Amino acid sequence: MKKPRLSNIFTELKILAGCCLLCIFFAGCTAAPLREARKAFYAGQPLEAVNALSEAKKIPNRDRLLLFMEKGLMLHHLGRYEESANTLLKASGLIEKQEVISISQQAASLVTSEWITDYKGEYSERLWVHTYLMMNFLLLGKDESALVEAKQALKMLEKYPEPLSKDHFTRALIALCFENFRQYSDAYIEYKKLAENLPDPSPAASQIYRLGMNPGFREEAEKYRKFIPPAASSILTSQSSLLNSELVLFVSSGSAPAKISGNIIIPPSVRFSFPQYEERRADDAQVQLAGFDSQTHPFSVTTNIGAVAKASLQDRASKIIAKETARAAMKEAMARAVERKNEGILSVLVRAAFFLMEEPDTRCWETLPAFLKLFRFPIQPGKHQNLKAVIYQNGVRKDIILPPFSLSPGQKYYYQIRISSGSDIGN
Amino acid sequence: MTNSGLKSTLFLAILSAIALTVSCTATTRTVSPNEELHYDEAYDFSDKKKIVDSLVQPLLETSPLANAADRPVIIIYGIANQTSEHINTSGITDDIRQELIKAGRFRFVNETQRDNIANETDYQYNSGAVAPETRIERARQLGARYILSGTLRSIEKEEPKQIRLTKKSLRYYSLHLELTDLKTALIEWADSVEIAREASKPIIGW
Repeated sequence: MKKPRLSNIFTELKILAGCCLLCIFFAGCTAAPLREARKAFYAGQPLEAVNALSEAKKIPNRDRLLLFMEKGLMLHHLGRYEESANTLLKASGLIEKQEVISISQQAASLVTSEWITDYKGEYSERLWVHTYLMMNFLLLGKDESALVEAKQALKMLEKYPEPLSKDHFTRALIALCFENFRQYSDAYIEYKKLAENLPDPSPAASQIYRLGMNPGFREEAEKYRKFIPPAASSILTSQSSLLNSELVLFVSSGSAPAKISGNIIIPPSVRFSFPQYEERRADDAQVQLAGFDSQTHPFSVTTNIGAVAKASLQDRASKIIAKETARAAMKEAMARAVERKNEGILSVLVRAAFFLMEEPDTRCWETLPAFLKLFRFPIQPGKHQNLKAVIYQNGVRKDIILPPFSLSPGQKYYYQIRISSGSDIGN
Repeated sequence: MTNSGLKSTLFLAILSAIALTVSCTATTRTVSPNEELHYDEAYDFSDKKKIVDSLVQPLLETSPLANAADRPVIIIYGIANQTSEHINTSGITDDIRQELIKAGRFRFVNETQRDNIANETDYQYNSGAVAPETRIERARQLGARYILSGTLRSIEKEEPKQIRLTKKSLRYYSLHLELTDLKTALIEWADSVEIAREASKPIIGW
């Protein structure tokens, strides 16, 4: 057998060292500014968090969608809705561009890991870009732009109906956008879909009844009468108006689960890795309005962000498994080829490198809340001062005084609140 | 490798490098606003021009105001965007107004300048800085007789999922414009323009 020359061994080791460095670079490496920003956001310092993301050049191109999503959400909770909308519109534009599958990235990811590819967002995250845009535009009083986003969100819901079916918040927000333009038939359809997807249709029943009684879906709307909760029965007796003045609250609470790494190891060195959402306990919050007439029942729906995100990831499971299998086969073939040419340490190191490189893509929109809640409180037109949102979470009461506002008949006032552990940000 | 083989390889390498450089060079060219140009199926400036041209002519020729001798006063209440794209429809209304003003048969209330007009009038009367004889006379604005308003709608359709290399999508736009008599609340004139376009995008790229 021919003995390998010492210089050849050194060259191979250098190549291998380079490969190892590349692995470390790509394996589980989120851009530092994103990590810092998320840390600051959850430490109750949203301004510092936004500043950490101000230099987009420091974020690699493959993580640009994450940059726009995280920054857009942070700006939203800071009350900088115009900037938030502009940032999330960039995310929306990028999602559209990313529909093209890059051959070079896919080929490279077959011998490295998914981290090398552009992050395209889970179906749920792509939907929530439009959800936050809708909220931003409504908070800015740009109802027409909110309706545009409602239609974009609707496209996503139609494209991925199964995994996104439990996003009740977005569905209800779409219906609200239609109502704002008196497109009651469209709103009615959305409330009906909401009722079908809710475990208990009662939150949507009063809306279906209210809308159905007016434009002529009376017979169908009557079917939902029995689901109307007793607290909201005033809708059956009083002359219900489609143009009620309302206080609309967007309440976000807790933090959504992040993705973690799951592994299956087949000896001696084949590793299948896949992303999965961690199990994170999050306590839902109850919201009341102090000084509010309890005879009038508010409309409210909640989306469990973690549940929808998990369903979206699950929907992609078959694609992830297929890609994982192809990658494992490719790496095994390459490792065997090296083994045939080199005996000893090099082939062992190549296998080790491939093993370490096999890191699942755990990138996700991490600053999302655990729950998104929509409340619509019918209130009298006129000036409102010292109105208080009373929030109960984990048995703890938090009072948030809303800024003074005045409403003309049929007008809506929008306000958003984020409740995290120990602190709240409201605008 | 032989000498001729080496030369051929070198020649091919240089040729590839030239091709790559030329194809990657940034270029610009001036296009005429009248040229119909579309990169995809979405709304663009060519559509705006087509919409304006298609609606201004009937308004000038077939509307009941076409033969009005008193140059009726119109206020534009904008075009509602009911598409699924963020389209600035004020560009359409601005162009329609401009074309109608050029025709010299209508007058328009400048609704967007109302606050500025009020501020300027207030300054002339209350600041003490404006010579009284040069102050504009108050309560002499003309009231509009007609409202011009409209709606832009779109319908989109994408090819269903199947094995393919390109994705086709179809988009239809319709702009409906109407003229309402403020006194009688009757719609005196209405017309619409439609644009439908199909585009295909590659699914796979480099």
